[in-house]
Amino acid sequence: MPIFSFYIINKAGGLIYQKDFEDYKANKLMVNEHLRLGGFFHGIHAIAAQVAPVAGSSGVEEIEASTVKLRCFQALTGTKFFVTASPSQASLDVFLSQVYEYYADFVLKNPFYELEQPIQGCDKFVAHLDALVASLSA
Amino acid sequence: MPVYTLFIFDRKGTCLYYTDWGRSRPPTHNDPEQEQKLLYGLLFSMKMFMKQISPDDSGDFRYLRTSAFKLHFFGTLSGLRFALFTHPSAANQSEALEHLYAEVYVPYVAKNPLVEKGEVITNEAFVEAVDDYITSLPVFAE
Repeated sequence: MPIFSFYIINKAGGLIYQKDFEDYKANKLMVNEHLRLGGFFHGIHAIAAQVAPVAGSSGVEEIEASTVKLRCFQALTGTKFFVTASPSQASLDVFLSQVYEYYADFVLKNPFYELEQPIQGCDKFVAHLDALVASLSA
Repeated sequence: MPVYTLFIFDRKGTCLYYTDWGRSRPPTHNDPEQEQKLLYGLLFSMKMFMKQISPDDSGDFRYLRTSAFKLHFFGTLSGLRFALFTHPSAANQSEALEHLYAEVYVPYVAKNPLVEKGEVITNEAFVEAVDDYITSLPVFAE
């Protein structure tokens, strides 16, 4: 079970998209808990750059624990994409840049999508995301 | 220098020990205490965060990486937290921190009857042993 969950948070720290890919957790998180996690990561991201002992640090790019790994990509607009996976899962960077491309193509170019708002009704985006995850898990 | 700083916190968030091997950026607002509080807050909340995103509620936080540094972490059951900042391409140093705890902290601080709980460590033998150990790590010479 390589990829667990995928999140997109807007530049204010609000969760605009979230999806679980595996029934990896016995006690699944509720929508509110996902919202909180998204906001929480936004905070960690900002604080990490503040405690840097060297100049010019970005926010969090990667976090690893014994059972899970988190990888984050921040677009220039401040939108953050992050994915959680098992620590052995490779090529999460490629995954995130590919998802960013889908986001640009199927969300941002959707005339009904309002910037910074939750992503809904973008079926093509979801379909491509699912296919990408399936290809990585195979 | 590829190893930047080391922090040791007790369970209450007091910074028991801080040392650096050359850092190019001073603490935020030039206030070391502020930086220690920020870092302790980060490490503290990390535990909860990892537990939530981990598949089996047991994720032990190991490291956090940004474009400019890597923060290695080791926490004990008694609530001590060791945090080591290195350059971002270093291998994970959690085991080195565990060694630092078992072979340096325990003999020089935990077993030392003169050390008051929650007091900043000024013990010279400890300071020297920490420096010797960290500078002997392969990551230090990279």
